[in-house]
Amino acid sequence: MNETSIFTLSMFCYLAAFALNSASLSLDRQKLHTYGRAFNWLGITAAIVALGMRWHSAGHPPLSNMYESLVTLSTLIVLVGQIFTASQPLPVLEAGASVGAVLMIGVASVFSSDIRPLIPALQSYWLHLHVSLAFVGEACFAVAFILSYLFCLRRILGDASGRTDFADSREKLACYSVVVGLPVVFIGGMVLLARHLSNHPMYADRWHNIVFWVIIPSILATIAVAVMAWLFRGALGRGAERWLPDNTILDNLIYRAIALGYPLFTVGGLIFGMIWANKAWGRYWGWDPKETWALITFLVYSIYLHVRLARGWSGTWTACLSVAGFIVTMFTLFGVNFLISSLHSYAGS
Amino acid sequence: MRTILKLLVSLKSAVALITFLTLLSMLGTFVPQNLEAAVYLQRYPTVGHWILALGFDDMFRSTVYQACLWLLSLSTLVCILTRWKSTSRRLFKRLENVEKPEIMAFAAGRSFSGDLAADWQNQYTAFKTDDDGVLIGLRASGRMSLFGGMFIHIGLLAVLAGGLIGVFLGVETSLHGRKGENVVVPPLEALRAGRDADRISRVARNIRTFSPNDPRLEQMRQQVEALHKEYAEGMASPAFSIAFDELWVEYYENDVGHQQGVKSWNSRVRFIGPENQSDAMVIRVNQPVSFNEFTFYQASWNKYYSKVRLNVEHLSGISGWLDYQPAASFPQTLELTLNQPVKPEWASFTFVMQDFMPDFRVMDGRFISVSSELNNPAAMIVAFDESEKVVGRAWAFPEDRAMLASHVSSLPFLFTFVSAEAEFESTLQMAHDPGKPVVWLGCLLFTLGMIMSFYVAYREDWILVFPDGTVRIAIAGNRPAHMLVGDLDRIQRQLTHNPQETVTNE
Repeated sequence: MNETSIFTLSMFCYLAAFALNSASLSLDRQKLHTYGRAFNWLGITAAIVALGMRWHSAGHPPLSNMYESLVTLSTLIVLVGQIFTASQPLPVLEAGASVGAVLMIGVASVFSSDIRPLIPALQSYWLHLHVSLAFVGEACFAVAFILSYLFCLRRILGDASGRTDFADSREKLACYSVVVGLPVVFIGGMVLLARHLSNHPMYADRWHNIVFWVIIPSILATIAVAVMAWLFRGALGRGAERWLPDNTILDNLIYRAIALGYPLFTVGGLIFGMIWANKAWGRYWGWDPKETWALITFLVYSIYLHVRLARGWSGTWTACLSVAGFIVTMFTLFGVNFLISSLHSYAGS
Repeated sequence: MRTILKLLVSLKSAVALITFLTLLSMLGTFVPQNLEAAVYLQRYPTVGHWILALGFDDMFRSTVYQACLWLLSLSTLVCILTRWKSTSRRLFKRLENVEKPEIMAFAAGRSFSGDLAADWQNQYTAFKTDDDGVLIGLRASGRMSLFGGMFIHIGLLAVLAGGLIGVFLGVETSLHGRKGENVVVPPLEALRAGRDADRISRVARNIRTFSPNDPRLEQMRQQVEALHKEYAEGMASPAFSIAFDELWVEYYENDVGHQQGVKSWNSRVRFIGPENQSDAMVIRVNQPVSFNEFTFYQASWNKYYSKVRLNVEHLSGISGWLDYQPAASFPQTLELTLNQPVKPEWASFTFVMQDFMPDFRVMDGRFISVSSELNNPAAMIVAFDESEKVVGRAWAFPEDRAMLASHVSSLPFLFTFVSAEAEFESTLQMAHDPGKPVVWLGCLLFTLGMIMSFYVAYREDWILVFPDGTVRIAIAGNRPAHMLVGDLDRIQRQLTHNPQETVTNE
């Protein structure tokens, strides 16, 4: 069994975990949630074994190209999600992390999984420190993003009687933009990516993977959720009350995920990146697009922490900031590689 | 003045500045940077002149961006100074400044009545009695956390200051060297003059695009001339030179010994100063070396071919050369060096190889080389007569594509590529940045600040003992109240030695 098959196995484990966690919520069976957690752990273990095998055969950590980045990050997202919910079970978050990981592995299938030797620029122990720590930080941001999405969903669904308490129409618009707009933006982004890759000879025989593994399932899932939400619209408020924790708890969890990820991302993504750039290129900062977008990510989360800690903001607007932060994080990771050429362009292969 | 200070202290303005910087940074990655003015005007006909007028063609050095950074630095400085006041009060005079209502308002708190154990005072480190006779006790831990915010802001300020030092005093340039070459390095002042001349020239070119008669242009021309003179003087009396002794490439090999890609580019160099000479040093990517005030990095690597060996056959029936009869038998061998004329005995012309492309392609009507590997070599040869007039041109391709050459040749010869000798050129990045230590110090402080703020738990355990015997205990800190509430039971038990104590007020 090669590592690609093991990654596929871990993807099916995440799918099973998603199904079991969702079933545990709708059927109110605690046991199903336990099985869901077990499947997530199984998927993580399988992915770690596959990453270890890849590391062993390549002689370097699986962090050097887009395929490796995606599978490593997908594993970290589920792992951080599991650790985060260890003392405070939250099946919706666990299910969300599983979906995130499945989508990432789906996108990874577009890129070549061939093991290639490291180019000279990447032959440094800073590769381990810089990328791995930044990824752990980004996995925390992903968890904060899932929680922020759930927060906005909770605001829309309201209390048991379905009553909402939006302060004004702007807040309502913001919540709807996140809940409805994000899946549309995601699918649109994936369609653009597929179109971009289909024009590239390097992806000629793989670009359709993104259509079958990501775009079509996402469209079907979005339509299914929309239809279900319409059919059971009267019971949504009651469901939300049962499935999702109180908004204050969600808000605190978002803050905790960001407070954990921010220092890791700053040290790993920015400071270690600066040290490595100084060693490899002779300058710690060169306004390369990847560097600049890492700085933008840092700035967006800095705004979040400033307004939350110093100005006491909480609720919808900080959740929206967290969502914006994660969109910027994803653009830093992937968008820059495809849309803007930079010194980090090797990461896009 | 007070209004300005107020504006700088305000968190709103700090957040607005960070947001504005974020947007400008985004713009800076989407607008191509440091191109010529004409390119912006051609590519963005409607906003091109705005991009140039605002300096967004060099966003991160533009006045707007720099002003934002300066304002952010000032705001950070003011924030540090104002923050110190509240931090020191909290650190050294917490008990003196606290009032009962503040403690009563802590979310993690409870009141109870009953006798306290004899040793209850051991649980707290400091006490005071207020005007109403209420005894207030405090035990604080994790005080280090209070420094976190200060460290973060001082660190940020140091990073910005270090960056600024680098902008004004730092120098960054590239050096190209081939095997056996000795490349001179002018003194630091001359390099700075060269850097400034480049910057001013670029601004002048942009101004010229809009208004060719701008009076500033003359002043800029004089400045650039003076700076170029300084640079030329520096080149004439260099600080030291670099001898490129050896350049080589190491490749990865697979199990059967086939090359699989570049493992490392290596330059063995010696630094030769007026009075001293360094030992031979190897520079690789990620393995820089330092000499005098500079650090040298293996930045890039070029492979080029200046010597090419060709096989030559006589071609009869070429239009314009029907009567031409060469004075020798064929095939002949011809060795050409790029741009150097060669006159073989068997021809009455002088041949010059004007271009050589190791991996030849025709893309968008242009002849280009897509790599530096000899995958599809092509050489362009021009023949001159004795009066140095061009008599014809020809292309040389490898043997399997040699007949292509006859279609694009206007000479009575068929040139076939035989071999080419690869030579290397190493590009070293040379940097001097006195601001770096300040930047690293800033990063260290920033990291320590984050650890203190986010990972060190600051906690205050309070007790209020009222004259009527009622006791109020409360916990505050940098953790959410619901995480602290759980400790109230334990504290109450420790204070009373009675796990069954009645809670009167949550």
